[in-house]
Amino acid sequence: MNPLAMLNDHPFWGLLTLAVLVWYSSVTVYVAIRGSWDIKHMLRRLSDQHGNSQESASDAS
Amino acid sequence: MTNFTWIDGSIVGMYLLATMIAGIMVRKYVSRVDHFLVAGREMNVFLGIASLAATEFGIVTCMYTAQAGYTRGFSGSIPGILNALAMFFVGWTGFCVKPLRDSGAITIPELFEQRYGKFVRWLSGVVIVLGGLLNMGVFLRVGGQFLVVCCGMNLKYLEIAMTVLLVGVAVYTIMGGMLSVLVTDFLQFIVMSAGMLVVSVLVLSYVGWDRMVDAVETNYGEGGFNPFVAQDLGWAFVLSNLFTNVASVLTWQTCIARLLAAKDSKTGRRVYTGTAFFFICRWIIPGLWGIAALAMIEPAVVETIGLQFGEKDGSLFAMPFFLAQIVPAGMMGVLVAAMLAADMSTDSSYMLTWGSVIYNDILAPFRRKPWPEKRGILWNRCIVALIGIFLLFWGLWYKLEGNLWEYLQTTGAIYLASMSTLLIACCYWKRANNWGAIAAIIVGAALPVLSLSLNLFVQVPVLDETGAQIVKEGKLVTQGLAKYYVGDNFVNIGTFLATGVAMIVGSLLKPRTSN
Repeated sequence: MNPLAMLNDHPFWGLLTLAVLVWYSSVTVYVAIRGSWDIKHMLRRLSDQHGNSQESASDAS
Repeated sequence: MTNFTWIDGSIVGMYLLATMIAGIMVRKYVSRVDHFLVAGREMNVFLGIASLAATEFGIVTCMYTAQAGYTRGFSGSIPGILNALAMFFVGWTGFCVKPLRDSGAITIPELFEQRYGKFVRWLSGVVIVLGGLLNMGVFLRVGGQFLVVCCGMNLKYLEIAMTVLLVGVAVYTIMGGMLSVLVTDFLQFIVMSAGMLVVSVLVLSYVGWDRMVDAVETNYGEGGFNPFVAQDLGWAFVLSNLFTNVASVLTWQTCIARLLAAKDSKTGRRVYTGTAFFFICRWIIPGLWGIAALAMIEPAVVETIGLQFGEKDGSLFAMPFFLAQIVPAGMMGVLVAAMLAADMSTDSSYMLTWGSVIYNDILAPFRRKPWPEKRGILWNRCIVALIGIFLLFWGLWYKLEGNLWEYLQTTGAIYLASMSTLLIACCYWKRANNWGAIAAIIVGAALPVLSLSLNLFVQVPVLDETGAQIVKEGKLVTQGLAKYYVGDNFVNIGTFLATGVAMIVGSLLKPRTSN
C-alpha cells in the first residue's frame, strides 16, 4: 500500500481513503479509553439511583 | 473454499461468550422503564459515539456498502458523504434535535403528541414500526448469507445460522435493554473497528490501489468516480440520497435514540458532530472491499453464488466471497468476530428501538394510567421477543431483489419522509397542525408501500438494446414495475416532495379557528 500512489491517481478518493484509515484508527483508540470511563460512571450513577430508590421504598413502608 | 478453521471458530466463540456475559451482567441495573429504554439518560459523549457507530454498522451495512463499491465504484460512497455532512450540520446547529431533546420525549411520536395530538402520535408510531420492521426484516437473512459465504458454511445451515444469531442477541437485549445494548455496543465497537482496519490494510496491500482504480475505470469509466456523470446514478441518485440521509439523521429512531439517551441536548449534539465522519468510514471501508472484489473476482463466479441463494443479482455476495479467498486463518476469526460484533450491535439496538416505539407510542392509548415499572419492563421484554420472531419469519420468507441499499431506502422512506416533515414543521412552522400531519403520514407511507407492492407482485420483462426480452438460464429476466418505469431514486424523491406538499396543504386547509 503506497500512500503517495493513492494521492496521484484520483487524489480526492485517495485522500479520503487515507483520511478514513487514519481517523478511524485514532478515534477507535481514543473512544475506547474515554468510553470505558463513561461506562464506569454511568453504572455508578445508576447504582446510586437504585440505592436511593430502595431507601425511599423502605422509608415509605 | 475459505480459510475458516477451528482457530477462527475459537476466536469467534470466545468473543461471543464475552459479549453475552457483559450484556447479561448489567441487567441488575435495570429497575425502571427509562433504564430499559434510554439507560436512565446517563449516557455520556464517548460511550454515545461508540454505541452509535457500532449500531449503525452491521453486516447488512457492510454488505450493501460493499455492493455499492462493486456495482458503482467510488461513486457508491456518496450516500456516506451526504450522511456525514447532514449529521455534522444537524449536530452543530441543533436543527430540530435541540427542541426534540429539550422536550424530554423518549420517542419522536411522543413529541408529536404535544403539537399534533394523541391520534398523530399513535399513527406515527404505527408508521415508524411498519417501516422500521420491514427495513430490518432483511438483516437476519443477509447476515446469515455473509456468514455462509465467508466461512464456507453449507447453505442448508443458513436458517440455523440466522436463528443462533437472533437468539444470542435477543437474550441480552431482553434482559438488559438499552444498558446491555450500550455496554455490548462498546465492546463490539472495539472489536469491529479493529477487524475492519486490519482487513482494510490487508485488502489494500493484497490488491493494490492502482489495480482497484483500474477496475473502476474499466467497468464504470468516469462515472465510477463522479456520480453526476454515471449513467445509472446522476443528480437523481444524489438528491434522493440527500433527502434520505437528512431525514434519517433527524428521525431514524436508532440515531435519535442515542440523542435522547444523552444526559442533555449539548451532549447529544456532541455525539452527532463527533460521529459524523464515521459515516464516511462506514461507506468507504467496505466500499473498498467491494471494489477489490470487482478487481479480483470474475463476474460469472459472483453470479453463480447469487443463484445458489435464489437471487438474481449476485453482486451482494462478491465481497464476502472475495474475503473468504484472501483472509488467512487466524485473521478470518477476527474478521468474523468483527462482523458478528457489528451485526449483534445493530440487531440489538434496532429490536430495542422499534420495541420502544411500540411500547411508548402504539400502546400508549391502552395505558389509561401509568403502569408499574415491573409491568412496563415485562411488556418491553415481550415486545422485543415478538420482534425477534417476526424477523425470523420475514427473513426466511422474503427474497431480496436487486440492490440492497435501494430496498432499505424504500422501506425507510415509509416513515422517513413523513416523520422528518412532521418534525421540521413541529419545530419551525407555527401553522402546522394535525390535518397536515395526518395527510403527510398517509402520503409518506402510501407511495413507498405502493412501489414495494408493485415491484413484488407485478413483474415486467427486461429488454435489451434491440428491444428483445433478455433470457438467463432459460428464464425471462424481469424487474418490478415501479423500478422499471419510475426507478427507485425518483420514487424516493417523489415521496419526500409529495409528503411536504401534503403537510402544507393539509395544514392550510384546516380552519384557523379550530386550531
